[in-house]
Amino acid sequence: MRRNREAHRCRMSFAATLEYLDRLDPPQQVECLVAALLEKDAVVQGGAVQRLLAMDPKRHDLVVDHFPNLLPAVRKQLEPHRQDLLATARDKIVSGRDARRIGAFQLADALGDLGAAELLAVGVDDPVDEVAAVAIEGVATRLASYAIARRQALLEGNKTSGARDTRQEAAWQALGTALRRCPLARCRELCGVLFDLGPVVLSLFRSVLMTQPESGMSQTFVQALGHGPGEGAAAFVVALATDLDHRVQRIGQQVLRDRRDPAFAKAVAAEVAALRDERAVQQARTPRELPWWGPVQHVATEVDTRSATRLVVLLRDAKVNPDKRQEMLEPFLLHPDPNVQITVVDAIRELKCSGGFVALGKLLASGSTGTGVRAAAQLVIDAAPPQRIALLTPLLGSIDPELRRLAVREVSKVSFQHYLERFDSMSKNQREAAAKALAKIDGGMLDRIADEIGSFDPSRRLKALHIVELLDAGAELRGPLLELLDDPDKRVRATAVRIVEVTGSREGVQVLLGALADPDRRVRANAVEAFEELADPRYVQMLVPFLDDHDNRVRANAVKALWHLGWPRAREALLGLMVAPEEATRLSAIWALGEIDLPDARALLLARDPAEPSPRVRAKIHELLAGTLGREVRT
Amino acid sequence: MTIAVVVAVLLALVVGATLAPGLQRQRHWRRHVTTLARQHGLDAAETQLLWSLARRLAPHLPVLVFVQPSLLQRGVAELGADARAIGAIATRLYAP
Repeated sequence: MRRNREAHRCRMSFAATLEYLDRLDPPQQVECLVAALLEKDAVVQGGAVQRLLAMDPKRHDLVVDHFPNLLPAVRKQLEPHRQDLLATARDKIVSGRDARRIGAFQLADALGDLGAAELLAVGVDDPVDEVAAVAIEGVATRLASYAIARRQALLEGNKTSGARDTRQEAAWQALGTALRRCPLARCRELCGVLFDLGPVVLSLFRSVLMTQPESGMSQTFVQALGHGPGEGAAAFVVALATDLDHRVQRIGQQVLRDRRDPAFAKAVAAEVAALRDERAVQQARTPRELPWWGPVQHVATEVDTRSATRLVVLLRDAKVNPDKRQEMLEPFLLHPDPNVQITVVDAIRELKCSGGFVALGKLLASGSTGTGVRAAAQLVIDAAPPQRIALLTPLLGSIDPELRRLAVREVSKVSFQHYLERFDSMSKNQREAAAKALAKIDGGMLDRIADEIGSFDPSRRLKALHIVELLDAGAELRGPLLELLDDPDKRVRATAVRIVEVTGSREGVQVLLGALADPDRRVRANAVEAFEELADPRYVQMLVPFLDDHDNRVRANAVKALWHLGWPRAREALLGLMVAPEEATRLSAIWALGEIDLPDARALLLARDPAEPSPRVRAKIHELLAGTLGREVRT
Repeated sequence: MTIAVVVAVLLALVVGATLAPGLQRQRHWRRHVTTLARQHGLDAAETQLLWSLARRLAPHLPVLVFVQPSLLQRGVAELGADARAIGAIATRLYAP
């Protein structure tokens, strides 16, 4: 009995109460439902909402009006009626200043999709602060989600990411409206959206910047460019500075001149490096029009490799004088990537180092190694500035063997040049001592001599030959020396014939054979002597005719060579020369007698002395007899 | 004496005519409140308590007590109604 009574007592729900209220007059019923909407009880609110939605559609406006009071759980129950409620809210919003319009805006914000931004934008400049707040936040939230979707599409390589569907277009237009109307106090929220969307939004915003530069939105945006997140700001700043309109350009240029924080600077570097539009690239090459270099110069070493390389090329082609270009390029010399360094060095090379070598010197003295530093060292070597030795000296202690080698070679080269310059004023002993000292410290000295052998100036070739002789390096430099046997300059030929080592070289022998017919007597004399050095008896018959050469030295050399090659008639030929009618021939014959080991040489000299008419020849005879058989220097 | 009686009768008629609609309306709402209270399983004492609160807190539309839990809370706070009894009533009135 008691159980039945309890069941009876609990049989009615709140929904049934609302059904019962149908019996009341409509105004009384509505008053009850509205009162229920004001209660912070989900069952009560939810029941009232459902009842109102089930009534005449005209009653939907009550739900819209009281939307701000509805609990979250109750708001969820509105989803099936979303379209109807949004239509009601739209009517309220567009119809004017409905006193309870905050409900319509909140409902549009809560239930509306991306396209609802268009509706919400109506309230951006609403005099009721709460309405404006809902409207701007609603627009901002939607555009932020659109920005995320757009970025995602770009990341996925969606080529149609730039196109907008109906809802996106509505949101886009709403943003345009909001940007124009936004009150100063609310501009920060929209500014965040601008940064989310990036420079693409400038198609909407540039008209605001151009026509309303003093508006709250313009001022807030420019402030955000100066102090906002570096990456987002940089994208805008570069886009603004490369805009077609000068008023817009000036905004970007001003920020580029004023802002210096590293994050911004690095982002600017990346943005400028990514410029592809030819007009924009041209602007980037004009620092006055696009003063990006201002912030970037301080982070040149931190810019990613690809961007840095691109920026170096831009600077190389910048529309400023070469000195200034080099000055702008130089900070990149200290970039950690060798490829960037090489690009900078190449650019400075193209500019002919017009800006000097201070920065290159700093790199060389930095202790860095690698291909970039090597390129810098090579540039200094190639450009050969007066201070190149000072610039390269720090590399003598480099841990990089290649850098050390470059530096040693260059420093030694200068020493070698100094040696060549002073060569003529040095004594024979000084020449020899200096040559040997240089060869000890300079592993590349023979290369340098070979370079000199190949020079156009015959006096330099001649000096080189003398140094070869001093260093006794004929064997090592045989190749280049062989070429000198056929040198157009007779002094060079003569010297080369004297010192060249042709043993085993068919080509060398052929050149020597040619030298025997040289019109210059010294060349012929030296060629005869060279055949003597070959110590090959097969050459005897070839040398015999030179006993009749018109030059006394050639004849003397020939008789000496034939003696040493074992020609049996050499003694007889020498005796003939000793009694020749010409004084010079007799003098050369006496010299030749001193050069060979003739057993009866002394007797021959003693026999000739009283008969010799020439005092010079006799003096030579006396010299030999006195035992002074030192060789003469013949030139 | 007669005049006094006449005046009294007329006064009674005037007062009656004035109070009659109110009393009638009160009866109308009391009937609705009683019916709903009964359907929610409230006993006579609970119904009387509910009616007294409704009459004082929502005299123009007493049934509001069935859709406004806050009215019952005001009854406790402002009129000193028994919170426990009111809580028991509310549990039944606003059940889902």
